[in-house]
Amino acid sequence: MQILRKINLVGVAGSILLSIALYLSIFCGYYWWEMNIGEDAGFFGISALNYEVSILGAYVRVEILYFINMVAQLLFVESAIAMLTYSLMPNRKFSENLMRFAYLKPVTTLLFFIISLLMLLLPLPATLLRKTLPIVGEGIVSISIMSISLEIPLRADFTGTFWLTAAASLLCALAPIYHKEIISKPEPLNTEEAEAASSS
Amino acid sequence: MLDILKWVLRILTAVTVIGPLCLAFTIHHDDLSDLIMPKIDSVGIETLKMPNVRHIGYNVTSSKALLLTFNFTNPYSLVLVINDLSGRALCYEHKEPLGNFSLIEAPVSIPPGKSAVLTLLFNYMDDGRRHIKDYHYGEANIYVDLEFKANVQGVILHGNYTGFGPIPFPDG
Repeated sequence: MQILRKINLVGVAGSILLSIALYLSIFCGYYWWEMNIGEDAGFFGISALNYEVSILGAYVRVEILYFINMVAQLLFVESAIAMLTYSLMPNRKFSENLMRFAYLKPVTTLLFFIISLLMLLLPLPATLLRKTLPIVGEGIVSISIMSISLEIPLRADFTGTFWLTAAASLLCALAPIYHKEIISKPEPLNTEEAEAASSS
Repeated sequence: MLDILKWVLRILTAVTVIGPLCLAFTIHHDDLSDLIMPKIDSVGIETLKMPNVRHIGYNVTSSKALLLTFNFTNPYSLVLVINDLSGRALCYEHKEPLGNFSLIEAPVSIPPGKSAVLTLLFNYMDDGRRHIKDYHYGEANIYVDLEFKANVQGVILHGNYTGFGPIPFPDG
């Protein structure tokens, strides 16, 4: 119990969940938001850490997204390592620096992703197609190519990995609050010290 | 010591954010549009192929119906499923409705890179037969406009194909 009082449990939980989210995205190909086009006609899966776009079996690549994913992956790795290190030793002199380095990165990355997704689904298609794309749920987009008009059904949703990452980011963001509680509580006396104090 | 650590962590953050982006611009400094333009399998997005549809022939089944056969080639790297294909035919010259058509068997699954024969059953309407009798008496066949609706992989396509034919007249 004394050991548990000396570590930041919120930070530990946040860093572990962050590591799991990172593993699922990079090694298992899980995305934070997915859109299905028709019946397997196309797929759009995206997160801050990876993405996949396929149309009629052909993969679409956008080079800049690869480098943006690289930035987010590195930020998450640094944040997870720093947060875990700090959380196991919150009372050391260097710990607060590690905490300040780590606690905001995941939630900032998540917010950047959400804002980018909203920009991609709302104003951009409204300008090009005069219609917005569904963020969650179903919708139909009508477009014309040459003399053929298409009605394309879309189905979109946030995934479980997104909510896992959101929980991890929230826990990391709350770590400083729990940090204040840890450093404000005095170190508990062990049994021998308590008896010596009471006898004197 | 703690100040050094604080500055090292700040520099690490800056390098993490700026480094990959600098790398991106360095690699693609010759053509920055390469960075942002979508590419399909390393080639430009405009190279997305269209399926090849070729009319093979027809077969008169009765005085009011005939079978139209097409060869459909799937140029994509996934199984293409045609759930439905139907529509109506109009006289090419007078734009009068002549009859309706639909796929004889649906759905049709076409493997990637392969072709399949699509057979459409075309039924002349009574009004269509009357139009042919009134305006095309003595002619052997007719050219038509096809207004079609197709369901491919859940995507609904509406289109027109003008001047299709020649297709034979119904008997009688």
